[in-house]
Amino acid sequence: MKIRLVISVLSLILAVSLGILSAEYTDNLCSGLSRQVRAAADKRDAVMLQQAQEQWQKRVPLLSTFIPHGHIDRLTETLVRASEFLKNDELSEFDAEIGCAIHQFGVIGKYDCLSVRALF
Amino acid sequence: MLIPLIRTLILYFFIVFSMRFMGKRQVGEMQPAELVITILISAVASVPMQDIELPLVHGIIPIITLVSAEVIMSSLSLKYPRLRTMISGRPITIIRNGNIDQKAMQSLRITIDDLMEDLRLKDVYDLRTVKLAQMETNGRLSVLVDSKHLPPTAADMGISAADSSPFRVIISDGKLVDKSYADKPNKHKWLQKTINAKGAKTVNEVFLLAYDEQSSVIFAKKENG
Repeated sequence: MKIRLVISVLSLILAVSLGILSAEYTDNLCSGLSRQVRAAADKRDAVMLQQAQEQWQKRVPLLSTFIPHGHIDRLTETLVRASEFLKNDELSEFDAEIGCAIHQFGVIGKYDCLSVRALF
Repeated sequence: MLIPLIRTLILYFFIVFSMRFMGKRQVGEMQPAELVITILISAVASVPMQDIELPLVHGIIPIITLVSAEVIMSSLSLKYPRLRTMISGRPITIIRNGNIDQKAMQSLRITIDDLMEDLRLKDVYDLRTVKLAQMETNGRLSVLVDSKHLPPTAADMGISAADSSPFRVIISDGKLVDKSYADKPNKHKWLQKTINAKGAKTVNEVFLLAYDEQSSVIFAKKENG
């Protein structure tokens, strides 16, 4: 019984630690990429946007282990659309997609953070 | 197709391990809190099983949390009887000296039919013979029949009865359960001699062979050879 108790307490501590780490990681990643995407949009820099997109794609497998896949897929699609609009010089659509992407970065970044909205 | 299959298998093994870890009893013997946990675990696990858009962790973390909470609470309730009473409640007396406590029955929301059924399941057909009947915290009725109405035991009658010990199965459906007779001296010789004496040549021909400490043997030969 003592071993089970210790394992239970350790499991809870591990779950809490992983929760805090994942929240911190997602928040940092999303705010960093969000800034990069905003900067790319301001400069109309397709290469910079492409780099942000690639960085995002690299993190997708890890993020998918704790964030609903729908959230991740929506942001991936938005970034792809924004990139295509920029290539075709459709700047008003590009700006709209960038606004959408930055909002989605915010949503994913705060997904695991403790908040009244998330708790209830 | 493969993804739900693999996810379901992962969750299946995880749930089986979790239930083993909790040391669960059978459904009918569970305390209310244990029953709630078991139902919750199955409900929680089914969501990521069906929805592959959800990370598997969303099913695993709630299960870890529930199992850990259950183990911690049951450990604490072992140490603190008050907590145990709060979580599991306490046994309630329904019948005392053949008299039904109607208030207790109302508080437990048990009908007289339920009570009579529970008594019959305990081989009690006349409730006047019941000295004490209590509804246990796991929802089962325990009954103490007045000693006047109990059949006499060998001890009551002052006679000695032969000792009995449980039978251990040695051969089950043609297969040797080696561990159950490991302590027997010259076990292989004894086994061969016993099955030969009963008309079988090999272990394969035996459906059941069991023995007790007094070396009584129960033997059944396979019907289809």
